[in-house]
Formats: sequence, C-alpha cells, structure tokens
Amino acid sequence: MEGLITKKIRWGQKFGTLEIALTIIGAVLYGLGAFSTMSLAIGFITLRPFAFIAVIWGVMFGPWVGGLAALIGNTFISDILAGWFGIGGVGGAIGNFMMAFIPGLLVSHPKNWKSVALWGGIVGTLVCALFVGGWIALMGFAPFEVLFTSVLISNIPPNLILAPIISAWLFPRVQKRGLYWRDRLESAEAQSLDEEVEEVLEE
Amino acid sequence: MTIVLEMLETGKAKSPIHSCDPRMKLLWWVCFIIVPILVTNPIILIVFTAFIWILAGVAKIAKKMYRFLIVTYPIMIGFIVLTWPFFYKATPDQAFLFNWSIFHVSVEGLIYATAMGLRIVLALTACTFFVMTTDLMDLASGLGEFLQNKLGISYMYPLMVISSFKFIPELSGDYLTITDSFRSRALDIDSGSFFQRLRKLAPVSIPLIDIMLRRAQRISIALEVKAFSVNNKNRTFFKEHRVQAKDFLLLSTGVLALAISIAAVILDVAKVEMFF
Repeated sequence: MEGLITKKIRWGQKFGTLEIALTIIGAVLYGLGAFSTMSLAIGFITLRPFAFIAVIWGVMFGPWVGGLAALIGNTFISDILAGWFGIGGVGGAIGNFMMAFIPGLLVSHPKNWKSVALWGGIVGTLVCALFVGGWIALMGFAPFEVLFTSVLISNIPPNLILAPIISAWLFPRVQKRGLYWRDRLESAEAQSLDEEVEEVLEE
Repeated sequence: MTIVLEMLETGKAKSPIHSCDPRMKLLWWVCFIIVPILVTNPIILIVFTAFIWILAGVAKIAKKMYRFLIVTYPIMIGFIVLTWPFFYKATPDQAFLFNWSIFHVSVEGLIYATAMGLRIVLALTACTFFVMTTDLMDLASGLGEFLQNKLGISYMYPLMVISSFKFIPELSGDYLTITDSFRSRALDIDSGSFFQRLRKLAPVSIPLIDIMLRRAQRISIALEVKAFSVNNKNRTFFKEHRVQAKDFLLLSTGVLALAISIAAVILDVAKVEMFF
C-alpha cells in the first residue's frame, strides 16, 4: 500500500482568504459543471462528466476546501437551482463533501495516478454513492440499489479516468502559483516556528 | 446557463411572496420537505402540489415555473414509475401484470410507484417555488446574520455561498469569451460526437483553469484588502431582516400542511396502501 496513501495525514486546514476564494471558485465550477450536464439524467441522478472537479479540488487545495466546494457546488448551486434539494439534500451534501474530502486527506501525491484513482475514483465515489443512495432510500423516495448504482455509474468514469490525468497535468501549474495545500501548510508551519524561535530569542 | 441566471433573477422579482422574509420562506420550504416524507397518499400530495401552484400564481411566477417543471416532471416521474414496480414487494394476493422469477409488476406496484412519483413532484414543486421566490443572496445574508449573532458561527460560510452565486455570471462569461476566441480561430467546438466534443474542450480548459486560479488569487487579495477576518464574529449587516405578520402568514401555510400530514399519519390515512 506504500505510495498509495499519504504518510502524513493532516486533518486540519487553516482557512484564510485564499482558501475561501478557492472554495468559492471550486463551488462555482463544480455547481455549473453539474447543472450544465443536468440533461444527462437517470431519474434524479444526473450523469456528471465534471464530477472529477471535486476530487481535483480536494487533492490540490486540501480536504476542507475541496469538500466545502463540492458541498456548496452540489447543494447550493446545482441541487437548489434544479429543484432537487428537498429530495437528495442532506445525503447529496454529505456525499459530495466526502467525495472531495477523502482524496484530499489520503492521496499521497497529486502526480501519483494510482493513489488519486484509488481514493478519488473508487473510495470517495463509493462513499458518495452510499450517502446519496442511503439518504434517498431512508426518505423512501427510491430503492437504495437503484440510486447507489446510478451514482456509481455517473461518478466512477470521470473520477477514475479523468481525475488522475487532470491531477497530474494540473499539479505543476498549481504548485508554481503557490496554491498547493500541503506546500502552503508546511510553509505556514515553518513560518510560525520561525516566529516562535524569534520570540524565544527576544525574551 | 441562461436558466440559472433566469432563476436567480426571478428570485429578485417583486410580489407579496417575494417580499417575505427569506428565513421564513426557508422554514416554509422545510415543512414541504417533511410533508412528502410523511405522506404517500396521492390525494393529499396532489392537493398540496395544487396549493403551491396557487401560491405561484400569487407570486406571479407560475408561467416561468411551468416552463421549468414541464421538462423536469416527466424525467422524475418516468424514472420512479418505471423502477418502483420492480422493487415493490410481491405478495400472492396482488393483481400481477407480469411475474417472472424475481421480476414482477402488479397493479398495486404501479399505484405505489405513481404515489412515489407524486411525492417527488411535491418536493420538486416546493423547491422550485422557493428558489423562484427567494433572492438566494438575501437568504444567505439573512442566515449569516442569524448564524453569527445567535449561534456564534463565522460569516465565512455564508460568504462562500453568497460569493458562489455572485461569481456564476462572471465565470460563465469567462468560459464564453474563451470558447468564442477559439471559435474565431476555427475550432468547431459544437460539432462531432460526445467524445470528440470532449476532446475539443481540452484546449479550452487550459486558459479557463488559468483564469480560475488567477481569479481565486484576486478574490483573496480583495478580501485581504477589506480586512476580512474568518474569526470576526462582530460583523454588522447592511440589510437587517425583521419578521413581519405576512411572513408568519406564509409560514403558517407550511405549518398547516405539516400538521395535516401528521394528523393523516395518526389517523392512518397518510399511506397509499389504504387504497389497496
């Protein structure tokens, strides 16, 4: 399993203005991507060729940024505008959040296609399907099997095939702009350590 | 894209319903989310759906709502009515239309499927009505005010939601500018099979992503310049929401629908099975 999972799992992510901005942009991209392909529908599950945006956002900008972007994009942009919020609501929100959060938390490196495919394409997507299918079945709107399968059909191809390719392609551009979340976190930690050392020296 | 912008604009229209407090409309909507969960009796569901359509007439959005829902209704109901009969539990006393191995379709199953479709219709109608009568940015602002002042939750979360709506036209504008520039260089984006069109989107995505990242950095700078702090919980609001009598009147219709549903459950008339 070495190389597939990150050695340093970081649960926390400090939110500054850049994280907020990235969440907003991610939410708009994901929401519009989902809404624009709404016509490709299987009942109340839409085929989502742009589902990989959630995985990419989680891997590039961190689990919380990715998760919140996917939650806002899916729930507040796509679902509400499409009128489906009352039906898929909570399950869709948590499921999409997890679809970005899990790869963001566990992917070892954005260029490691196996890791992105495993955590984003398989595990994250399965968890998302569980939440969406489970919630709608719990509310009694449709059978679990139907929804679970529909979500997998709609999300697995983009997350398993497109997410690793785009992640590897996008990573150098993101890193060059200083936006890769692990780099930002490490430099913030180093900076706070420097400040602490300076304070101690001053004392 | 036009639909999104049109829906967002419809929420800003003027009518007795539009002028109600967005938080009260949210509560009204919550009532209508719970109702189809409790009730599967088709008569109750049809009455409540008709009631929302009457409210849509009062809000002067009936035509727009019809244009939107006429596309969505058949997809939803069609899917539900087609799939549910196969999952409806078969018992020997049912009137089977088709029965082979694990696959079975009965009259009872079809009635049940129709009732399930009507639940979806009610939930969908209520949600669309809510979106078309509510300025979502106003709602997020009102909720932000409530969350910060009453629950001590940072304004960061409502800000993300509000800004997402605000940036929809801008980002879609960026996309259109980029695709137009590629069209002017003779890239035919609109023709070919699904996969061919997907391949043609690759050159478009490079400047698009670049613009997105640049825009994110600009938003971040704009927030910094305005001294936005995630931890500030004493923020004041430009628009302060006050609940009035008309807001309670609207909410009371939702509460009444919920009360009727609960009564139906208690009286054992809430389920579609009572017709079998």
